Amino acid sequence: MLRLPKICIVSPLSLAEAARLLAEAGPEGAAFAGGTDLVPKLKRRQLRPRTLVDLSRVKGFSGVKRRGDRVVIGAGTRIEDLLESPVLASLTALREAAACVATPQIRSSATVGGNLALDTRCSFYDQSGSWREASGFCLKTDQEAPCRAAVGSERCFAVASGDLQPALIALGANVRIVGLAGEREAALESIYQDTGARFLRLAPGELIAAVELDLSPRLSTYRKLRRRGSFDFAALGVAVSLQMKGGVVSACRIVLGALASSPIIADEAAALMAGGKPTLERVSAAASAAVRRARPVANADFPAAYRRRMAGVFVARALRELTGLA
Amino acid sequence: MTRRYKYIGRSLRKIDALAKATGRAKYTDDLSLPGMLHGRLLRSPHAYAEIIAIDISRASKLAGVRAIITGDDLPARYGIIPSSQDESALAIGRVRYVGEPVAAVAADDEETAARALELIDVSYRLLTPCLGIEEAAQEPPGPDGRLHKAIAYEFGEKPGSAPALERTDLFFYEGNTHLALEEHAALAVWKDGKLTLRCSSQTPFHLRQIVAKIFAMPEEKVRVIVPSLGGGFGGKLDPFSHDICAAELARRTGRPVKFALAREEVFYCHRGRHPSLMRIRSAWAKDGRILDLDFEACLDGGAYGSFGIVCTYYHGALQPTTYRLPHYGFRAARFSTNKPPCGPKRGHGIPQPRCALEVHIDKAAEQLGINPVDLRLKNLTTPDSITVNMLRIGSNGLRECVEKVAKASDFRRRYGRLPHGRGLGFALGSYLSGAGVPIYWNEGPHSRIRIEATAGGVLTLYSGATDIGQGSDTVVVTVAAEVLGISPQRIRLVAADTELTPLDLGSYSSRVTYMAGNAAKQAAENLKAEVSRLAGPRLSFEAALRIALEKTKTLEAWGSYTPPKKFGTFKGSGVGVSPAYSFSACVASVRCDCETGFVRVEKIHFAHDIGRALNRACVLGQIEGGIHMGLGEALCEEQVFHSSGLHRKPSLLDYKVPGLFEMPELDIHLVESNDPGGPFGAKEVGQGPLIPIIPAVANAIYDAVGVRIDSTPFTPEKVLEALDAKARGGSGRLGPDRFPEVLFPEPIRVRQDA
Repeated sequence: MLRLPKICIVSPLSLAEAARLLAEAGPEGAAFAGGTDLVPKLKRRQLRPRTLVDLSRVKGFSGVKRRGDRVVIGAGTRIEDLLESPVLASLTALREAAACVATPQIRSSATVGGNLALDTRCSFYDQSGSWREASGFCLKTDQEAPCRAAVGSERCFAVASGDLQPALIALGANVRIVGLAGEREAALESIYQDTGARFLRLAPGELIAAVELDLSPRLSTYRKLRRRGSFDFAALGVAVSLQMKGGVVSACRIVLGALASSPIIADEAAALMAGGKPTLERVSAAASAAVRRARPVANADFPAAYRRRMAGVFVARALRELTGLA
Repeated sequence: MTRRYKYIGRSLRKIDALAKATGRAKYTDDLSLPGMLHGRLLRSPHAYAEIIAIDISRASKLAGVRAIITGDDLPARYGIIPSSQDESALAIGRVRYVGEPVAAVAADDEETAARALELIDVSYRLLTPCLGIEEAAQEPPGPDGRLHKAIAYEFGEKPGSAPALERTDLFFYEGNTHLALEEHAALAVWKDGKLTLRCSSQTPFHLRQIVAKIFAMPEEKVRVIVPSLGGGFGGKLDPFSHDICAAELARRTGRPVKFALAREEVFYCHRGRHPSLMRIRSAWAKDGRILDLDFEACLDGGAYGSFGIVCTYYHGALQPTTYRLPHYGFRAARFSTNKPPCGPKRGHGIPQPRCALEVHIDKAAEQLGINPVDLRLKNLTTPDSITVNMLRIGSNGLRECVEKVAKASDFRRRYGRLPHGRGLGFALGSYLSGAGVPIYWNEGPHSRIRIEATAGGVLTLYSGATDIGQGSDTVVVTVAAEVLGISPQRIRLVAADTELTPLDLGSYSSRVTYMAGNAAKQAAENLKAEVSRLAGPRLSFEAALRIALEKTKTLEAWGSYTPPKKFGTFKGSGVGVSPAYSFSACVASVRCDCETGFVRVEKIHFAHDIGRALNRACVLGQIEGGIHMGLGEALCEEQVFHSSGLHRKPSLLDYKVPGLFEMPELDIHLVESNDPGGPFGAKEVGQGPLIPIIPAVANAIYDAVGVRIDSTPFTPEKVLEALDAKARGGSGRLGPDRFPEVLFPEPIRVRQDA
């Protein structure tokens, strides 16, 4: 059996204090909320932080609150609680994405913020220390080492596979970030960058405090490719949101998850849908455009070519479902 | 079902159910002893390499490290099969797979032991690993060659009539592993020249014998105890490095030493399903009778022998238990490769050939224009018959199994007529109720049971059988209770302790219900007879027992089971022999998504000839578990490796075992053929039900979308690739297209009249 290492846990009462503690700890520190991704990584010694900044006692860190036509979701909100919240009932993509995170047990502990900041995954990285030693260490943690998944690559291709990421980006969410310099707000997509070793654009000490999004009526859906009906991380996640006015698609957003180190906003695909009547031809063109943006490497379950092809199938199915095409 | 029994046939709660459900049951890793040290194994990072030197000096200096051993400290060679003594507790000279143990450490705590491993310096000279059947078959033969075992047989006579159809098919069955919930663990105490080993073993008596040999000590100086055990499926039959290293480290330090493996290490222990490349040729009469069957297989054995030789024989043993074959050729070769050793997994060597055969027959049925169910019915074996390979079949409810699932699924009307994307597949299978010939040949009983009655009427049953979760403890107690006419709760049980319990060969080959069950029945009958001799015949057992105990204070009775002698006399005729065979038939109903290739198994109709269900709930539980495991092998599980020899997915997350969502609706029928030799007529159910699941799913995929996936598992990416090929005008078959050239020996010819 794998055991946890000895580790120091500090439990701040405010986010500002948490930010200070995290900044102080630097690379030796890690934020600890639901722990569902972190604890296995600690057991495998994938990460070796000396200090965990426990966020469970931070006030006002969790909960879903309506503010007029907007909703604020505390980053410490348990994913399972998203499914219970009547305020979020109209945000189908978010509910669907939340419902297919891992397992009920994990969702009851895992948090929204943890899913948004989920460490990027790779079949050469998410292994034990001795496995990685046998395989040779890689770019994800060691700048001198080669990428094992895409041989010859200059950068790490580890995959951003949090299910909530594409769903919330498709729904146009913003995030509130607390750091040493105080609080700032940003579009969710702006905190990601497409390099697996440093996929979050957050300054030292910065933490996601909350997610905010508007409740204006729109259609949305999330579809997840995984081998089993539960437990598995996404090998592909497709989130689509759109608004219809008078039989015409007035706005559309298509986001692909789990294909790259950050969620992919498939603008070209969305543009093919927006401004016109939905037709099967448009759907098929949009699906093809989405496939063109998908360039996965073989570092997750399923062959890369299969995941790429499924991006088209899933986008088409999502668009057909939302626009009522058979 | 008969009502003349009080307990037999009912769904009684397992005797250990409450303890397990409430967490009171203690597994090996739950145990802790005063002064106990923690052991860890250093494992090879290379698939094939020479060990140049091992330097333990840095690790030895680490505070808290109590002992470190390497291969030279445990030079004895061993193996579970007498003819495959090729393992050592720690690698000597060479490592042969990634994960092979190289050194072992005992330290005050696990963290220190783990740090010590990092301080052991091993220098290797890398060799080129061999990772597959094709590569292995190309290497030159000889003592350093890759061929581990090759066998060839020819049974019966070729019929004179010309066949209406002949066909040849290839099939590849991928390796997969057991995935028992409990990771292996061992706790050794060495005191006053005596070793006590508590460990997760399915075969405590074999382990005692092997450990005694390794340490050159008499068997009575070794005591093996199996605490609660969380699933075996064949993965805990072999003696393992951690068992032997725990013993040696306990001997050196004079303190208890415990090893508790991590999940990843269990993937390296393996002993799971052999990858197998198979070729089948058959000849058929126009009316659908099989005239000839020829079966060849190449098995990928991994680095060591384990049960591999037996598995190789099993590849050809049970095809004839379901079909009457006038002539049957069988050749198989097992190769050594640089991967964790393969061995026995639920079904042993039988699921692979059965899968290839049932898919092959499905293809023949289409060509002959005969419904797959009817084609099988024309060729089924019958009760009380002798197979072409000299196996004696007694009770045989196969025909009833076939008819039951055909009727329940409305197979004859719906097969081939469902809308595109939906399909039905049929397959059947058969398994042994215990191997009729022991691994270590001797003429003694395979199971013995002792029942003791002591003051106050306390009844204690001593059973050497290991309950690995299958419910064997419940079975022996229920059988004895039925005979004595008392509640099973009246009987205390002492089990799986080589010092306290009489010998039982172990929990493998689905032998325990049949053999230990018979021994328990006989012991209870003997006790009953003795009690009534002492107290007079007309009293109830409880009343008579009181009187008898007043006279004698203690009473004991023994029971044993020895299987009947085998029928065949040729070399290798001991494999496949069993006192009784179980039979199963299955119809899988699937839905395929043609855009994604996903296969959803929606319903399984299943019928199993159990002889008699001793505990209905336990029997259904075994069938459901077998179906679940079979679906894993069919749809998603694979033990696969990088070109370096590194396991691709040694974790519960990445190794895809089906979850609850993958379980279909089940429609299970029990056929009770009442085996004349089984305890109350019972036969096996632990392994057989897995076997027909895989080909039934394969055949259903073909019925649904017209593609043949001739290699397991039937993943979405494979189905889609086959659909693409078919759309481009291809055959829609995805599978191997070559069978290596193998120099099989001259076949041993066996004719029934001989």
